[in-house]
Amino acid sequence: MVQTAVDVEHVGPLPETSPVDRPAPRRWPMVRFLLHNKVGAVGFVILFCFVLLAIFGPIVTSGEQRTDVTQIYSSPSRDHPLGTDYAGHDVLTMVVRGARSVMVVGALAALISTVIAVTVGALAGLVGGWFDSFVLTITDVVLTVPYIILLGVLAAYVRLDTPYLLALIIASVAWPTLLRAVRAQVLSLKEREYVEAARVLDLGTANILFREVLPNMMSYIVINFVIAMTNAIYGQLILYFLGLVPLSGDNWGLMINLAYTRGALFFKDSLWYILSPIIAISLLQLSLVMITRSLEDVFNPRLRSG
Amino acid sequence: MPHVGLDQPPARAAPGADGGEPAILSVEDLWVEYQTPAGWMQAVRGASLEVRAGEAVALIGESGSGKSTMGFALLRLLVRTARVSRGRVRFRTGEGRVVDLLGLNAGQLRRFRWQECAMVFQAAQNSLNPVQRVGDHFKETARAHGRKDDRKTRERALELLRLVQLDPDRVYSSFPHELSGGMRQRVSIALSLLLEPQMIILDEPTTALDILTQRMIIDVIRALRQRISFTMLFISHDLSLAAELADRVATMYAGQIVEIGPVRDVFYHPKHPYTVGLLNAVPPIVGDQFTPLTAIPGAPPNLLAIPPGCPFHPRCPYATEICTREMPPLFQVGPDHGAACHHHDKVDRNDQPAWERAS
Amino acid sequence: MAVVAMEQPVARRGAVWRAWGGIRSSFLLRRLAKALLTVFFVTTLIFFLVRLLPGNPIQVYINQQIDLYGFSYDVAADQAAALFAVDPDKPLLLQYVDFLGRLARGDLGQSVVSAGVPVTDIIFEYFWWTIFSVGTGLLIAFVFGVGLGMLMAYRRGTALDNALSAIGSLLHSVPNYLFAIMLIVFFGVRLTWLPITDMRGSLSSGQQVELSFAFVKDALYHASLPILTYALTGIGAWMLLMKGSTLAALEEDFVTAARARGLSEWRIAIVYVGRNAILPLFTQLTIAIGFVVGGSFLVEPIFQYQGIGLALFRAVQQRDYPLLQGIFLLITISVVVANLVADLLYSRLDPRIRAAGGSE
Repeated sequence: MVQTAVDVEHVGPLPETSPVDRPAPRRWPMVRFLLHNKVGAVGFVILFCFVLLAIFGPIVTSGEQRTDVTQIYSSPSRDHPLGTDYAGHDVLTMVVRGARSVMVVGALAALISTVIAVTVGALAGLVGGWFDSFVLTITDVVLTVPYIILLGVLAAYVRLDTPYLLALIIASVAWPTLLRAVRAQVLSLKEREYVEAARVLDLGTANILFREVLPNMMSYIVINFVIAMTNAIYGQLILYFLGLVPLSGDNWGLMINLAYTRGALFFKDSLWYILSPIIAISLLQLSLVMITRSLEDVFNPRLRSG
Repeated sequence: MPHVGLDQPPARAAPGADGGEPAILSVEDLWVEYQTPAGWMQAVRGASLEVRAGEAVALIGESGSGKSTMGFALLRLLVRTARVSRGRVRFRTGEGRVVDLLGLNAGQLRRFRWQECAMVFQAAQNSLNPVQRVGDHFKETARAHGRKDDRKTRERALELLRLVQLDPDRVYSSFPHELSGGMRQRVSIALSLLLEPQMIILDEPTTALDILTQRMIIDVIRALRQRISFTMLFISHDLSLAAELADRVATMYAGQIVEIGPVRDVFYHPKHPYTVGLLNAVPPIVGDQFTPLTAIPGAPPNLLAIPPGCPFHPRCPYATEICTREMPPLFQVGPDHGAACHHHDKVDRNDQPAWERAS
Repeated sequence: MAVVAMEQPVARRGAVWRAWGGIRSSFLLRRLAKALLTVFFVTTLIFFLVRLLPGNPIQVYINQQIDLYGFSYDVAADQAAALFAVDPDKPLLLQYVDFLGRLARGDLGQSVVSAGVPVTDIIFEYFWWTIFSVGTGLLIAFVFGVGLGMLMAYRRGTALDNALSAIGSLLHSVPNYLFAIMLIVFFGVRLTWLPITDMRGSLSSGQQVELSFAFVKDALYHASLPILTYALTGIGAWMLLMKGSTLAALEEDFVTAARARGLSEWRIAIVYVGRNAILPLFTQLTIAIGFVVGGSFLVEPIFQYQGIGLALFRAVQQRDYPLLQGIFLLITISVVVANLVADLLYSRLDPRIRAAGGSE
């Protein structure tokens, strides 16, 4: 299920974050965070592994895989720890190589949608008035259309040859939820004194936005970025599943799609062919979710669930 | 069925009870404690009280005195983290039987509630269900107690609403959010009278209402008592409320009843230092004298670590060595007037020097 | 003793002058306006999307027709116009007006892949199956989720609560299509508990659509896996939401007051706690509807369930633009209508919203 920006367990608006109001962390907030928070630490470690995989994977396992028809859908063995696919390719190699594509597209899509959501959302919240109503109405309208369907339909009109286009399409569907969350946060921050002071001093909207409001929402933005990345990874899967992405390159989504379309579901021995990308994705998502939760914990202690 | 009472003689809650009217409510040595992370906190510590038929008793104290806890304990409405650890609460029902409130099982308790004793909650709270109309509240209460005739209930409800000075038809079919705070409070009062209970407990009936609405509620209650003369126990921090409405007043401190007696006696001749302090802290609206206000020195006790002896001794100008050792019982200081102070004979309302010495 | 003038409760259905103010800020009417706007937005989007394509599919089609069948440009253009529900020669604005006009008449064009078949016909064939499966799944998830959520709140802290919370969280984190795949892989292939090949499609071949027990039984048999997927992936969220909401409602003063009045715990649970706790969930219902309809897009292809999600899936894969657009429009309209119904329900249930002139 697409994870929304507001966690399901907390019915109601998010309380405000304000690092400004408390004494600045001594040093290296990240390190502090890791030490105090086991869950987040584990998440970070896993994520780090994946990043390493993304960077070095394709380099280490370079070269085209040989098609070996005698080895179709074989079970795990010493040569092929995770078995093989429909063309005799080694599954493990494919998993290792697929990390890069998944993460690049995910991060890029998250970046684009976060940037859009943050700037427009914060601006709308800050400025208010007709601009705000306008933005809100458009956001609501886009939100009404089911996300997956909008994604699929939009993608049908575009040739998704490059990861950048892929990221762009995903981002263009993901921004509404983020925007609403950011706007809500800005609205609550707007009531704070330093914003009031800045407005009274007529410091200019852009100025207020970038120097007063956004820095205090950094933690919130980071959390939302990670969530956006989670959603972007799911979005990729969906697009691959739909067969809308050209069938070349390595990507876990592609593996799942091929596994599905080549009937790997129905072979007893090909279990690992389907499962490994699923597990890889789940693991990556899990690490992201763990990081999100501990970030929430650190920055919003009040949100800690009972 | 309420179990046929052990017809024991009424407890000696107030020494020298005049025994004229039978006691409706009799509380003996009640102890109520709350579970906190730091251990069990005693909110009510051995309080005893008697409410006689037809009278209005005021229970006055600051926040933390245990007064609301006591009120809730009587109807067994305490939160899950609280419990009655000791004591007896007995109630004389409409049929003349005396029941042990703490011993009722769930079914008996449900039948007892509202039928015998009703409660009006703080004005600030929303005691009415937002998704139900006022009339539905009346109907369901009546039905829950076996009165299935909705027409009759409606008639009675309209009559009661009229009695509390509300427009009966409009209010009966309104939702709570359509009414003001004062109106909702009056609805609660009307609701409490629905089943003609023996006694009504009012918890902070005027707190959080603006001053004009407060006045109105007080007038409504007074008018009601003149017409229906019900027995009433009301709980407040507002001493002037006691002056307006009560026949007898009890002051409560640190979970104990430190003084109890007829309202005139307590107001004009208080015999417990805490009561004196309370009286001195409120300016008289009428009067020719300019009496300087004095605050009670010190702070309310930490209920998790109450000092031995009399709980008030750290703040008391009359305290001596015995006060730090022995818990004073309720000494009888007048006919039907008791005060829990070793030095009650020395206590004088106008003794300014004593208070100045203490500050 | 002076009688204070009687206060009146807030006028509920006031005079005409109040009514106009009421309409402008009325909850329902605002929702209706937004709904219409959404449909309008989607139709406009559809109209312009096709033009965005670098290789304008309409032109491509026209050229194709000319090449393949030797039609004259006019004839080919006419066919394209019929197919895509637009006339490529007229100026843009007129095309747009034309487009809207055709939509209003119910003409969504014709499928490119199944040449000549009107889109509306295709939609009609597939639509009801999706409504059936998605609606049932959502209903089950909601009803059971709410019930379990309340149970968890009442039994907070017990082993039952902890177990259910864990299960709910777990179910909530599995995406619906993965769940569907797992169902097939584990229960169908590995364990062969489920006769999945048998369960493909929405009806067994030979079974007629009729009002008979056999039909209903067969339909349910084939829909059971999709319904199971929707229900189980959706129930987690409702459970957790309702638990939180119920816990909040249990703290309310009117619950204590109701107990003080000697009402039975059952009545309190339903009328006092339940009815108040469920209100915030309705705002989530609109999101959930959109979500589960979107989910059909992925779930139906996995189970080969002949619903509109599968139809859209195929249309997207085959780039059958008229069909794609038609389904897209229909799905949007359905979601919008379903949301309106949910909002209507909500306004009936919460008297604070119900009042004319009540704003959100």
